[in-house]
Amino acid sequence: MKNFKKAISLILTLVLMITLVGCSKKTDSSDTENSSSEVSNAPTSAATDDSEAASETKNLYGYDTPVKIKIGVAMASDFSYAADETANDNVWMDLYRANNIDPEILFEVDSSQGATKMATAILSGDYPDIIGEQPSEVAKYAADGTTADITDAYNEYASDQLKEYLNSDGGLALESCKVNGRLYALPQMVNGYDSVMLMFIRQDWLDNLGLSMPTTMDELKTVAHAFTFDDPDGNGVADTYGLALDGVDVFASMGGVQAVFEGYGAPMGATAPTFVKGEDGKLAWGGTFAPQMKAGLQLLQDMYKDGSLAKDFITMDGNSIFEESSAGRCGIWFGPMWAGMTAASALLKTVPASHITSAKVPDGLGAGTGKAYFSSSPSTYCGVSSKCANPEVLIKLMNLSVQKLCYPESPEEFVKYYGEAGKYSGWKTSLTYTLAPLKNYDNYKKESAALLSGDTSGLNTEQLGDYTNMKAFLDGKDKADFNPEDAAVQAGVALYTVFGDLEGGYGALDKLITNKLITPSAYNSLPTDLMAEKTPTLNKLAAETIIKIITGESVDSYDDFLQNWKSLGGDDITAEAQAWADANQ
Amino acid sequence: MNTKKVKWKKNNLVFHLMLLIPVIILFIYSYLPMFGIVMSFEKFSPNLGFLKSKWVGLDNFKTLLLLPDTFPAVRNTLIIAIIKIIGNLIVPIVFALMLNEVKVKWFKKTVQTITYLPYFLSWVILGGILIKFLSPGSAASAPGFFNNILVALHIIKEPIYFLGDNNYFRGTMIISDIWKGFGFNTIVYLAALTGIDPSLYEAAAVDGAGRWRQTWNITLPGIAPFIALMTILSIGSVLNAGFDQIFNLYSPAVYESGDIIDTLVYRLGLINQQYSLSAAVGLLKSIVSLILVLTGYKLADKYAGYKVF
Repeated sequence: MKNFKKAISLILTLVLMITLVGCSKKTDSSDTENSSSEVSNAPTSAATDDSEAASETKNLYGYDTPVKIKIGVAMASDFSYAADETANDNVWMDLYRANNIDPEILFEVDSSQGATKMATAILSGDYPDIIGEQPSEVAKYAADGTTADITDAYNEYASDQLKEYLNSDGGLALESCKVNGRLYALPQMVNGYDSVMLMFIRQDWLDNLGLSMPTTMDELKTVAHAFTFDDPDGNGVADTYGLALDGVDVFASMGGVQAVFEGYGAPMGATAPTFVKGEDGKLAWGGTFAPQMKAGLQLLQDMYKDGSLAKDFITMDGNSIFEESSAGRCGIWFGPMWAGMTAASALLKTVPASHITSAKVPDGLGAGTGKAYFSSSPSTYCGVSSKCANPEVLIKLMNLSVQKLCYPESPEEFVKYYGEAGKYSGWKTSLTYTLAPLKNYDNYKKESAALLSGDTSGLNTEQLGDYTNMKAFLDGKDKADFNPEDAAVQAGVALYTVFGDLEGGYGALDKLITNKLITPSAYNSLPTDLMAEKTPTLNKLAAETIIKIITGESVDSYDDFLQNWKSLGGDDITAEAQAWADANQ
Repeated sequence: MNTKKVKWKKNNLVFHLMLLIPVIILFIYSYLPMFGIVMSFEKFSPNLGFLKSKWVGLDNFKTLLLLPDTFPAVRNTLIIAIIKIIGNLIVPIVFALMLNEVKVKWFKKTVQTITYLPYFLSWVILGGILIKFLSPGSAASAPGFFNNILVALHIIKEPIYFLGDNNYFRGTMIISDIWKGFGFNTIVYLAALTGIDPSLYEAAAVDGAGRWRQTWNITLPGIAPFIALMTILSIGSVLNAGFDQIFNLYSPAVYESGDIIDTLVYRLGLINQQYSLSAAVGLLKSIVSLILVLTGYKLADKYAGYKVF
C-alpha cells in the first residue's frame, strides 16, 4: 500500500497544503486584532527622532499596541549567532518589540533551503508577512496577490531617511518594483560590486612554489597543476588540488562555474540568462558567445582530466567548497569579495602561515582582455503579505532599519545594530537589510589605508571596530601567546581578506573599478513573464551541458546546445530584453 | 451454527472499528486532496485558489509534451523503477529461502538484524554516507571506502565515479535501493515461510525429495500468493523510481540518466513554482499507475487465480 500511495503522493501533498489555507486564515485575523490604531500621537521611546516632523502626528516606527507579524528566518551555513543571541532574541528583535512590532518565527532554515521553504509556505497559504523576493518573483507575487499593494502605505509612512536611501540610485530600483504603476515591494539597495565574481587563491602556496598570481587562464592552468602535483603545503603528502567548482548548483556565487567564462568575456550571470551588449551592440546572453565559451570549456576539460580541477567537483556544492577551502585541500576558488573569509578563519587555526589573496578572474583571451561582470539591478526585494492586516509594517520596519544602519545617532548605536564579533549578531538578524550601498567600498579604502599608516582618525565606529580586530590578528600572529581561537582574531583574519589586505577581496575590486575593467549588465529590469517561465529550463540545460563537457564530452557539442537554447525560448527572451533596452535608451 | 454466526459478527464489528481510524486518515489525506487535480487544468495561483484560478484546459499538458526534460525523465523513471521492482522481488525471496535453510538460530537472527538495519535510515542520511563511500577521490583525498575495496580486489583498475558518471548512476541507484530494502522485505517472505505445514516437508522427505525438490515443489508454491500480492502492489510504483534517493544523490552531471519524473516535478513545482505543470505531471502519473495496477490485478487473477480482494 505504501508504494501505491506514493504514486500520487506529490499531487496529494500539494493539494493538502492548500486545504489547510482555510484554517490558517482564521488565526491571522486574531493575531492582528489589536492593531486598530495605526496612527498615534505618542512615538515610543526607541523611535523618537526629532528631525522627523511627521512623527509628531503619526508613528513611523511602530505601534501603540503590540502588532504580531509572522517571519521566516533563513541563515547561511557560515553564519552563527553572537554570544547568547538567537533568531528570536537579539538586538533587532528587541528593537522591533520595543516599538510594539512582535515578530513570530514561522520557520527557521538554512539559507540554501530558504527560497524553496518560502515558496512552499506561500503555496500552503500560511506564509510570513515579510517576504524576501527574487527579482523574478516581484511581478508574479504582485499579479497573483501574494504581496500587498504598498503604494499608499509608502506615501504615508516612509521616513525622509528611507526615501533618501531608496532614491540613492536615482530611483531606478524603486521604479522596478512597480507593477502597473503600483508599488508592491521595496528594493534592498546593494551595490553590484559586492557580488562581482573574483578569484581567491592560497598566497602561501604560491610563495612556497615560487609562483606568481595567475593573470591569464594559461597561467591559472599552470598554477592549478602545480598546486595539485608539486605539494604546495610542503607536507610530503599528495593532499591538495588546484581548483574547486560548484558542480551541483553550477551557477552560484560561491564557486560558481560562470566566473571562468567571465574571464573569457562571456558573462552568463549567476541566474542565467543575463544580458550584456554583444559586439554588434545588440543584447545577448553571454553564453551565446560560442568561441569564448568553448575556449573556457576546453580549459576546464583539460584541468579536469589531469586532476587539477577536483575530480569529485560534480558532487560539490557551495557548502562543500567552504569545507574544501577551510580544510586546506583546494588552492583556488571563485566567489564574491567575501568568499575567502570562512577559509581564512578556519585555516588560521591549523596553518598559521596561511594567507588568502584575491584577484580578478584571469583573462582567457590574452592578458588585459578580461572584464568582470557587474549587475546594476538589486538582487533582493522585500514585500509584505497581502494577508497581513497591517501592510504598512514593512515601511515601518524599513524606517527603523534605515535609521539604525544608514543614519545612526551614535557610533555605539550603529555597532549594536550592525554587529560586533562575539557580542552582537548584527544586521543579518534584521528583517530588512538596509546597508548603505557603497559602505563596503568606503570601508575598504579607509581601513586598508589606516592599517598602512596606523592613523585611525578618519575611521567611523564600524571601521574602527574592523581595524581593531584586524590589528589583533596582524600584531598578534607573531607573538608567543597568540590565540588563533580568539573571537577578535577570528573576525580580524576574515575581515583582512576583504577590507584590510591590498591583495584581498575589495583590493581586487578596487583595481577593477579604477581600471574600469567592468562589463555592466545591459538588461536592468525585472524578468518578464516569459523570462521567468523559460529561464529554469534554459538554465538547467546550460548547467547540464557545461558539466558534461567539462567531464569529457566534445567541446563542439556546445554548438548543439546553443541551437537548442535558441529554439527553446532563448531567442524569444533575448528579443524581449532587446525591446526593453530599445525603450530605455 | 447460529451462535457461531453471531460471534463472528461481533468480532467483525471490533475489526471494523479498528479499521475506521486508518480509513478516516486515508480519506482525509488521500481522497479529499484529489479535488486538487483541478489544478492541472488551471493556471493555478496560490492566492486565487482552485475556484478563481484561470481555466486553461489542456494547455499544461501541451507544455509538458514540449518540455525537453519530459521524455528523458519518463525513460529514466521506467528503467530505474522496473529493474528496482524486479530486484526488490527476487533478492528478498532468494535471501529468505537461504535464511530459511540456516539452522543456527543466533546466526539467522544476527544476519536478519544486520541486513534490515539500513531500511531504518532515511535517504538524507544514507545519501551523505553514500557520497563519501562512493567518492572517486580527488588529488587531495583518497577514494571512498567502496572504490578502495574494488581496487584492492582488482575488480576495477581505476576508482569509478558512481554518482557522477552516466554509465553507472542508474546501476548505483538500483543496487543501493535493493541493498537498503531487501532485509526488510525478507521478513515478509520469512513470515510466509513459517506458514507452510512442516508435515509436507516430512512427507516429501519420505518420498525421497531432496532440498531442491522440496524448495521447488513445496516452498515456492507455498509462498506464491505472497509473491503475487507483492508483485501487484509494486506494479503500482512502476512510475516511482524513488524520489528521496535520487534527489539526495543526483547532480547536473547525471541528469541525463538520473532525472526522474518526481525530481522533475519537484523542480517544476517547488523550485520554479509552476504548480499547475507539476500537478499535470502528477495526474498523468497517477492515471498510468492506476491502469498498471488494474492490469496487474486482472492478470494475477487470470493466470495465478489470485485475488487481493
